[in-house]
Amino acid sequence: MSAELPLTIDEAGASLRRRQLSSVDLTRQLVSRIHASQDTIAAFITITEEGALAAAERADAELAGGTDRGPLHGIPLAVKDIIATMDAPTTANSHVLDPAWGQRGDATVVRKLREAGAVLLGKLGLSEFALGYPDPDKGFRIPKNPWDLARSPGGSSSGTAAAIAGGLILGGLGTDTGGSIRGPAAYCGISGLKPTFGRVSKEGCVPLGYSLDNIGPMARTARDCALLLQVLAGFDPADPSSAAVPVPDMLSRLDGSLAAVRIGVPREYFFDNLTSEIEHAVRKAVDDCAAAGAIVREVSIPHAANARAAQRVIMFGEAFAYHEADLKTRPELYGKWTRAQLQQGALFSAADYVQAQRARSVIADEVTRALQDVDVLVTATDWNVAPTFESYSPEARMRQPDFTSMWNLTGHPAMSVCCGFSEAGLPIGVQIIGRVFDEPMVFKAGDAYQRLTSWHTRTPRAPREVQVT
Amino acid sequence: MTDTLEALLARAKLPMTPEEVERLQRNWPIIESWLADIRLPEARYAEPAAIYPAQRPRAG
Repeated sequence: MSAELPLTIDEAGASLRRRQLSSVDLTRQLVSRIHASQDTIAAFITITEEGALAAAERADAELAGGTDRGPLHGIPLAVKDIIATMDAPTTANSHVLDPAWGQRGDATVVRKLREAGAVLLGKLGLSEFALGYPDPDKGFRIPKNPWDLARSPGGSSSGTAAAIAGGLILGGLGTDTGGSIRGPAAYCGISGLKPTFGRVSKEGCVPLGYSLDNIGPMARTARDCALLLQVLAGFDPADPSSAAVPVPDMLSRLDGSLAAVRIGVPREYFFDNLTSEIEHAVRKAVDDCAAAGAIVREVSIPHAANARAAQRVIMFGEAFAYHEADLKTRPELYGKWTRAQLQQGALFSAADYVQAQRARSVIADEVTRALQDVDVLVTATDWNVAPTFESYSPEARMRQPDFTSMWNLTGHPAMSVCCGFSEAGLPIGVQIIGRVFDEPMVFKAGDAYQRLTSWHTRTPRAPREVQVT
Repeated sequence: MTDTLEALLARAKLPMTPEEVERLQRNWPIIESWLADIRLPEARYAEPAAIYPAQRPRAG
């Protein structure tokens, strides 16, 4: 990737305010990169070039006139194409979604980004309805991992992660029902946060699992994620699951210090089945934090291994309820993998769903207890590095360990940051989990770790074109 | 196909290809293991997690 443009929201904001760079110049250069990468990284479904340039011109004029809307003013971002925007259709990467759905206006989070002065470059690719797997038969571009175009950037926020890692945007929005922000963040070597359930409004977002879904920030650094969440967070009466809680200063604890930060490492499940490269990188990250003054101790979450089952029963049950009519009347419009995933939801009874919700109560209590004497928990984000497209399938996934969906089940905030690279040069993610509504502590730990290390500053080389079959 | 899976698919009334039915048959043991995993003895007297307030807060 070219090094002349800023890589972070923070750096870009400083350049804009020093007049070293204009928002229009930055936007033009990134739009040019996006067009040039649509046959390689293929991150975008819709590019809103005209609107972006108009927003960038407004941002420059306002800054020149002394109006500064804050850290996102004039910053080019983009949105996963499952979130409504008034300037582009919303597809959810599917031929099933009514085209009129996306034309109704901005989702709450998009309105907030625009009010904060952000420049939205378009709608980013994803897995169909945030659930499917790449299906070349359906005609949508398939986002690829900028570190190796033969590999998946993960799902479902594949376009957002690929675009940030590929230097096409400085940050963006993903959604996360079982790991769809954190998995792609880990596979692409960037940062991504699933906020506490209820922290960010989901109004204007196509649902997958009503009680598990989150919209959250993705960017190169933990600090940039904090800047984004500051704008996104807040109660919204238009979202029934939005939490009426105060929004703290998300940057208030970014002091670069890990001194006396108490890190809990789960004893059960999370270190049982992962590759040696991943385990080594994650344990090294914990050791680095300890060397910087953090206090590390083991904690117990006795039913950690049961969390994935409860999350799956709830997610597939809720998703099936949303999709049942379309699965019966026009199943051929879905991608084959999406259909296969959704069909599983037909196999659960109402009692199964309630049992999963009761298991959810027990496991959430266990996590709350584990966090009583520590500030954060640390685990690997994924058991392995980004898979090749050939080996990436829902059936393979069913048989692999899952370290992210537990925090959707319990509602706790969880962030992935890069903690190393495999021998093959692929990024590895470490996951930081905090207490409910304590995102500032998660950001503190992630930001301090990134000040100790340089993994997050690495960028992939310019990609070559590959074909996904 | 097990009787249980057959009954569940019959109840669902989903149009499915033979490949899709075969895939569910193949994965049924995993799904059955999920159904066992969610029945925790510790949850015997637990309330389900999804409890919504009777009255939602309104704007203004």
